[in-house]
Amino acid sequence: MMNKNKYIIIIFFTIIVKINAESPGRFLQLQTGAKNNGLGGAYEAVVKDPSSLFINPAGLANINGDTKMIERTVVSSKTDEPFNEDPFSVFNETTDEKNNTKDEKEVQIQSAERPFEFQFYNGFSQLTLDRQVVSTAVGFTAFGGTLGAGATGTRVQGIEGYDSQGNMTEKLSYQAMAAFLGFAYENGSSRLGISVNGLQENIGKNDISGGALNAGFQISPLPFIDAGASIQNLAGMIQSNTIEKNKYEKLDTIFSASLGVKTLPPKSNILLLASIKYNIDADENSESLSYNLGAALSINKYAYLMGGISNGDIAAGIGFNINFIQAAYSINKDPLHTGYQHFIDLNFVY
Amino acid sequence: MKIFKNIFLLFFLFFAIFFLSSIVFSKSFELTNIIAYPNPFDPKTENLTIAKKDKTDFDGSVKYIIYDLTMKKIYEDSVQNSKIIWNGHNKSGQKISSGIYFIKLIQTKSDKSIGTTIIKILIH
Repeated sequence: MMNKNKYIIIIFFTIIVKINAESPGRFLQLQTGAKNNGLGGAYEAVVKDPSSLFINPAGLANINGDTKMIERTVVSSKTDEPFNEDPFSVFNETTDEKNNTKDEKEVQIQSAERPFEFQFYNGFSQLTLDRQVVSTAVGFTAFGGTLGAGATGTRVQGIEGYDSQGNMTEKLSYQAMAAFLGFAYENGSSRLGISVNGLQENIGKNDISGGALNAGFQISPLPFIDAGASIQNLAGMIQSNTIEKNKYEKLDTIFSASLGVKTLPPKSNILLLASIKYNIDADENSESLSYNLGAALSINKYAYLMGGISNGDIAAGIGFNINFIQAAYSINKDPLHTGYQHFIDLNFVY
Repeated sequence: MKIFKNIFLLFFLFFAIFFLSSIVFSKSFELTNIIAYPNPFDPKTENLTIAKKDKTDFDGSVKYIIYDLTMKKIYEDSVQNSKIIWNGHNKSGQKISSGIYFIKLIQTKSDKSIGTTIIKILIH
């Protein structure tokens, strides 16, 4: 009982408290994904593959098997009596009437047809300073919505270890991984999604683990407008397992909002995106707000170009949609301008 | 519509030229023989020392900037003719969290940069 209360208090704390400090779990904030990077990180509004799990869980709802409204004709009794206060009496009456008459009529009924769709996403990013990010995720129609599951891992190599006297010890590495599970639901032109993740960071000899809740929203109020917003680490906490046992810290909560404008079909070949990201837990002396801009242009029905600016850093990329394969590549220069970073996405649609 | 396409193609051309030229003309002024110890480092019990490999002081002015994994700036300061001693706190004086951090060193003499390097450290 005590343990249960402790966890309730911790979760409550992680939702309402603003920490204004550096927090662990930074690998969750790395900008990954070729499309996300190529569009300058302004991708929340339009993400629609299983990488939505890591960016905006509402995007999962776009994996919907192209839901279509189907009109069917059914044969029904001519009885059109409204229900009265006693539904059983009406049921009995209509049943009696059905039994007593052969009169029938044709009725048009609309229903949603939702074929099964499955997508399998893989992403790889080779960042500067020996940082690598690998992500994999699946999304499929289930339970009247879309279910997603995936994982992302970050590794940094080439760290030289030294003891307190300055003598070289061993080569070290940093590894972190997070597993995600999400569900999204589409209602008309709006989509809602949530995801949870469990994470583990191996920092030298210190292991920390934790988890977080993420939520997202997308809406397409007009055929040429897409908007999206997400909250990452709405309730996120982390616990040190080795160096400082049972020490809890809150993960940074990040709010993102994005707006996309595209040209109308059939010439829908230009997409412009703008987004902001706000770290509500950022230290008061560091930057908490970032601005991102992105644009995509279709070359033909198989290929498109991407360009973006994220906090002044330019990114560019190219994408292909060929049958059931969606591939993208993008490149940018890291904020310290130490070199170029490469991002690759491969998504299979069944 | 064609004008957008041309702007895009122009943008890509510039980017390709910029990319190739940065490879061909890039010059490296890498500072070598610099160590940061202890690594991993625990700010609760010790300070991080950055010095030349023979553990002697730097010559001239050295600016050091600490970045987190996402390359967000956490802290910056500089020293003159000495080693760098950092206590693992950010600009607000708070102890920074466990994780991996990058330290960029910029050595200057007579206000001219004579070399830079980036060191990776793990903080417990």
